[in-house]
Amino acid sequence: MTPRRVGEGGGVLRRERRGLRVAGCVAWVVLVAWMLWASQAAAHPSLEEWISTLSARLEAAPLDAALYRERAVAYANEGQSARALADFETAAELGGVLGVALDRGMLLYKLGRYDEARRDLGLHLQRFPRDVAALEYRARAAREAGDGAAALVDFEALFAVETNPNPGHYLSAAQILEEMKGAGSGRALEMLDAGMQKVGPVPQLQRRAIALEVKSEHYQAAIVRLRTLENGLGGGPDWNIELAGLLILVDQEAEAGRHLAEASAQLEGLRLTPARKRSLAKLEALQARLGP
Amino acid sequence: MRLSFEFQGRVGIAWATAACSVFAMIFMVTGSASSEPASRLFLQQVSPHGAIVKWRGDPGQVCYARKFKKLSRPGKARCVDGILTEGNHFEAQITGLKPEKTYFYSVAGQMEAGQNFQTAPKSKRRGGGRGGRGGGHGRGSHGKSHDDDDDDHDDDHDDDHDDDHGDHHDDDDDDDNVHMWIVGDSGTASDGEHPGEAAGVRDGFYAYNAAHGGERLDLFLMLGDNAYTKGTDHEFQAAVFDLYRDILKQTAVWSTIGNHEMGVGSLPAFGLFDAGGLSVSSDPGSYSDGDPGTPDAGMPYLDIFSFPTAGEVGGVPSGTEQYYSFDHGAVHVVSLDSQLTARDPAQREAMRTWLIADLSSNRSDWTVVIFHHPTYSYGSHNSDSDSLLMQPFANYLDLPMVTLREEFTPIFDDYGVDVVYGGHSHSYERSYYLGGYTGDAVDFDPAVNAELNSAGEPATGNGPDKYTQVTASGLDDKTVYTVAGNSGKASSANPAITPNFLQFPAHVPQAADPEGRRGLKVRGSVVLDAGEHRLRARMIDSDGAVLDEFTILRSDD
Repeated sequence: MTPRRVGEGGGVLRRERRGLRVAGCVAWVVLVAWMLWASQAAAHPSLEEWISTLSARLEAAPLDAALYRERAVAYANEGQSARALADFETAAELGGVLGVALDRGMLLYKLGRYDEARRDLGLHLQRFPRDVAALEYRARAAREAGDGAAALVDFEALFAVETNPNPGHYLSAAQILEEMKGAGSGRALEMLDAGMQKVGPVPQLQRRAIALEVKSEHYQAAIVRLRTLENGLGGGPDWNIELAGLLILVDQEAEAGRHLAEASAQLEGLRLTPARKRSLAKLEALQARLGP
Repeated sequence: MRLSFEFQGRVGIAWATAACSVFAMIFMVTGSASSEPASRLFLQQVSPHGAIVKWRGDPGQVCYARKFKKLSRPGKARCVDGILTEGNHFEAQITGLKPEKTYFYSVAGQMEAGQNFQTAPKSKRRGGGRGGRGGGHGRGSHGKSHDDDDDDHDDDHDDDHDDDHGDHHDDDDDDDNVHMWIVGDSGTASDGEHPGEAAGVRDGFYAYNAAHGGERLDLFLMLGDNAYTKGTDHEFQAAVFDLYRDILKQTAVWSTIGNHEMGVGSLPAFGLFDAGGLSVSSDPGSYSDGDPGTPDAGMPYLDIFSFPTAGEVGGVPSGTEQYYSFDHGAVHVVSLDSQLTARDPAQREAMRTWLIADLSSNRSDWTVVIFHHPTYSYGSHNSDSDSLLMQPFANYLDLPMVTLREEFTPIFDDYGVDVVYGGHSHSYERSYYLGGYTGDAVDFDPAVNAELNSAGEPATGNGPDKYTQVTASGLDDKTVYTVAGNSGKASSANPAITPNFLQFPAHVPQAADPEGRRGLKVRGSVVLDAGEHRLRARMIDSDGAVLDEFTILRSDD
C-alpha cells in the first residue's frame, strides 16, 4: 500500500473520504461490539475457538503482526506446525523478526529444528539476555544439537538469574557434562553439588551423584552421599538396603548387617507393595552375600 | 471427635461470629495499635510443631496463645515478626508448638472471629526403626516444642478457663481421623460467568459437614485452576481468599498447579480476549497475564503459596514448590506438577526420581496424590492418547494426561498409593480400584486392571465391595482415581472432544446420574476421611448431599 499524502485529490475525493471514514467508524463500532461479545462468549475458549476468533480478527485487520503471532502460537499449541510457521513468517514480515523470535524458537525446538531454534532464541536473548524461558529453551536446543558446551553456557546463565531453578535443569546440565569428552563425572558431580547448594540435598540430584560415584567405583564417596539423604528419606528400608549394599562393597560387613537387620524389621511392619516385595528380594540377596 | 464452630453450618457460624466479635472488639480496643484487617489471611505448612501465617495488609507481628484471652494480655502471648515476602505478602513462621493443639492468633494487632488453628498430629509411621523425617517445623534450633520443654508459656495448666466465647475445643481429644476437603477447578468466582457456583459448592460442604458432626477440617486441598482465567493475583483474591476466607484462617491450604495458574503463556490478550489456560510452557518464568500495561513479576501461584521444599512438614525434600509432599498424622499427601514440570522430559524425570524416593520412604497408613491433569477422563477433557495427538487437532495442552498415566501410574501401583485426585475436566468421575493400567479407554480390561468382586465384576468400593489396601493379589497394588474438577462449574458434553461423555469404562457407573453414566455432570467437592481403619471418600453436591462414596479398608500392617 502506498500512503497518500495530505492534500491530494479534490472535493469529490474528500467527500469519498468522509464517507469512507463514516463507514470505517461504523465498522469499527461493530467490530468492537463483536469483540466485546466474543470476549464474554469465549472466556474459556478451546484452541479451535481461539484460532477461529483470531482468524476473524485478521480478516478485519490483515496487517496486524501481533494477531498473526498470536494465531501462530495457538496453531503451535494445537500441533498445526506448518500453519504456525506460516503465521510466524507473516508476523515477522509485518512487524520484524524480533517479535516472533522467542515463540518461533520454542516451536522450532519442539519440531527438532535445533539450529533454527537457536538462531531465533539467540535473537531474542540479544535483546533480553536474562529471559529465563529463552535461556532454558536455547540450552535444550543446544543440548539436542550436540553442542554441550553452548548448552552449559546457557544453563549456567539460567542458574545465575533463576532464583528457584527446577532441579531437572541441574540434571540436564550434569547429563551434558557426563557425555562431554574430557569433562567426565567430576564436572557432572560439581554441577549436581552446585544444584544441591541452591535447592538443598534433594534425592533427584543426589541419587544421580551416587550413581556416578558408584560407576567410578568411588564407593566411600557414594556412602557419604547416601548418608546425606538419611534425614530426608527417613532412614527407611530402601535407604538401609542401599546403604548395606554399598557397605558390603567396601568390606564393612558388620555395619551392612546392622542396616539389613533394620530394613528387615521395618519391612516386617509394613504391608506388602510390589516395590517392597522387590526390596525384600534385594535384602535377602544381600543377606545371602553376607552369609550366616 | 473434634468439633469446631466454623463448620457446623451457617447458624453456628453466625452465632459464633457474633460471640467472637465481642471479644475481638474488646481485644482490638485494649490490644495492639489498630490497623486494617488483612485483605487475605491464610495458613501454610501446619505441622505438629509449627505453622506459617501469611497475610496481605499492614505489617506487624503474629501473636499466638492456647487461650484466646491471652492474646489481649501483655506478655502472655508469644509473638513472631511478619516478614515481607513475594507478592507483597507478610509471612510469620511459628515454631515450637505442641501437636494436636488449638492455637488462637492475631495478625498485626487484628483478631477476626475464628482466627485459630489446630496443629497436626505427630506423623504416624509404620515399620518402626529410626527415621529422621516426620517432625515438621520441629527440627533445628527453633524446633523445640513444648513437649520437650514445658516452659512458663505452656497453657496446659493455666487456670484461666477463659475461652468461653464460642471457640470451644477439646484440646486433648485425640481422634485419629484426618478430615480433608478437596476442590477442583473451583476458581470460577473470578471469571464472571458462573456467579455463585463455587460459593454454592462451598456451602454444600458446610451443610454436609454441619449435618455430620461439624468436624474441624484438617486439610484443604485444591486441585488447580484455583482462579480463572489466568491465575492472576487479583483473580486469586476473588476466587480463593474472599471465597474461602473462613476456612483459610483455620486450615492449611495445599494445592497443585493447574493450566489456569499459568496465565496466557506467551499470548497477549489485549484486554479483550481471554486466552487463560492455554500455556504449554514448562517454565514458570514464562507466566504472563497478557496485560501489556503491567510487567509480569512472576507466577502469582508461586508467590502466594509457601509450600515445603525441604521436607519441612514430613515429606522428602523436593527442592521446588512446584511438587512436594507432607505428612499429616497417618496421611501422606503428594502434590505433583502436571502443568509445568511434566512438560519437559528432564524435569519430569527429576520429578519421577523424587516421587520414587518419597514414596519408598513413606510409611504412613494412607497415601493421597493430587495433580491437575487426570489420567483417565471422558469429561470436558479426553484422556485418550489418540484424541490428544490426532492431527489436525492435536491437543498439546492436555498431553500431561497421557504422560502422567504412562510414566507415573506404575509408580502409584508399585508404592501403594491409595487415592489420586485430579481436576481439569469439569465433572465428577471416579474409577474402580485400578492397577497396571496405562492405556486408553479401549485398553481397559476389568479382569486385568480392576479389583473384582465375588461375582467377577469390578468392585465398586461400597457395601460388600469395599476395597482393601492389600488386594486379591496379596499386594497393595491398586489405586482409586477420581476426577473432581467440578467445584466451580459443571461442563456439558462436547462431542468434538469427548464423543462418549462420562462413559469412561474404568469409571464406576453413577446411580445419581439420570442416564446412569459413569460420571456426574454436577457441581460438587470431595470429603475425604482417613481414619485408623478406613478411608472414606464422598462426593458432596451443592445441597450437601452425598452423590457417590467408596471405602478402602486398611490392611493390617
